[in-house]
Formats: sequence, C-alpha cells, structure tokens
Amino acid sequence: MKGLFVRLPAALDHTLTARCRQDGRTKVGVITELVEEYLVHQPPAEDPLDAAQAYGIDLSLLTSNLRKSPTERLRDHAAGQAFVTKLRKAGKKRDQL
Amino acid sequence: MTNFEAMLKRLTDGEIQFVLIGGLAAVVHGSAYVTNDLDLCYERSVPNLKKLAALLKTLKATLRNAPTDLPFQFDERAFALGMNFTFDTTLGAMDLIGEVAGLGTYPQVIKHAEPFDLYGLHINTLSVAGLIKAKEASHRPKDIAHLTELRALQSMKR
Repeated sequence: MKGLFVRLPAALDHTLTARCRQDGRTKVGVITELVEEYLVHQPPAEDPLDAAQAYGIDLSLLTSNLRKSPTERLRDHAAGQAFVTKLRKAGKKRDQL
Repeated sequence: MTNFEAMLKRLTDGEIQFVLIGGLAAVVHGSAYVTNDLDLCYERSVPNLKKLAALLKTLKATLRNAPTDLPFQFDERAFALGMNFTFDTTLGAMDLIGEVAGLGTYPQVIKHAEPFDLYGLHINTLSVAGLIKAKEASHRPKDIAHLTELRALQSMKR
C-alpha cells in the first residue's frame, strides 16, 4: 500500500472525523472508497464513437439508420422483428424434432 | 410479435397521454437493436387512467407472467396498486411505466421528450439524452450495450 498525504480543510476534517467515529469507520477507508468509486464508476471520458467501435457496434448501421426518416426506421425494425420471430420459431421447431 | 403501428394508433385514437420510452424510442432515434415490447411512460391523472383502462380492455390485456386463470379486471383503481405494469395484449407486449428511473413521473419525463411524426401520428418520444439518463440510472448490466450505442448516436447527431 502506498502512502498518500491528504490535507483537508479544518472544518471538513472535523466533520469527517466525527462521522467516522459515529459510523465506526476510518478516514483512510472512506477516502479509499471514494477513490474506488471515482475510478470504477466514472470511467475516463473517451470519444463515444471510439467506445462504440471498441464495443463491437456497427457504426455504418447507425449512419444508415440516421439517413432514414423515423417512420422508415420503425418499418425496418418491424421487418427485423419479423425475421427474428421466424428464426425463433424455426429454432423451436428444430428442437422439437 | 408486437404490432407497434397499430398500438400507437390505438393510443393516439384514445387520446391517451404518454411518452414513448425504452427500446422503440431508441429505434426512433436510430438504434439498430430489435425490441419486442412497447414501453410507455403514462400520465397518472384519473381521466387518462380511465382511457388507458378502456384501451387495455379492448386489447384483452393480461398481466404478463401472471397465471392465465387469474380473474383480474384492470380499471383505473387498479393503477393505484402500482406504478409499472407489464401486459400481453392482442397486439403484443405493452409495458406501462409510471416512474422512469433517473427521470421521474410523466410531468418530468415529458420535459425530456421530443415530438415525432411516426406513421403519420404525433408521438412524444423520449430524447436520446433522456434515454441515456434513464439507462444510466437503471444500473443493469444488459443496458451497457444500449448505452454505448445511444452515446454514439448522440455524438453522431451533433
């Protein structure tokens, strides 16, 4: 474990000390938790398009969707939904054989 | 399979106050994911609940995952028993959400909505920023892919 010197404003330090005493916790424990929360739940800001690509999202599909009107997007979605339903039915039928 | 067009038409014909949210709202904004249910944030005034209850009756709605033989009459009083309800109807799956995570109830949600012309109907649809806020608040692992896609769409639309 590495050492970290933290200088808190006196009033904040006083309140934190009182609260830790009340909760039966240590100041180091509270600060460690805050640092973990920051690192885990607030990931570094990266370009959303880079993040999507890294995740495996097909950006060309999104670009193509954005060229369509909202109703066209819904109609294409309905066609996709029908296809998925057909596939599921076929899968079920095969499982029953 | 859910007939979204027919459902939206029945909702607007019935003059029901709602905001389109969830997967289909994401599709309206350009999402490539396929969804199978219609998610709506509904307004909880008594007149609106009466209209919704009447529509549910005509669509022979049953509570999803409830025993099929459960005698259950859904009326405006039944809405007082909860906030979020999932139904199977003759037109497909419909989820009625009274309170959207990260946003709140209808009066707050409508502030994050944009009017869209869908199938020639005027439909208030949750904005991309609103969808992102709601998904971030849900903390569901299954939403990570959707969130990543929505953030990309938001960036592409700028």
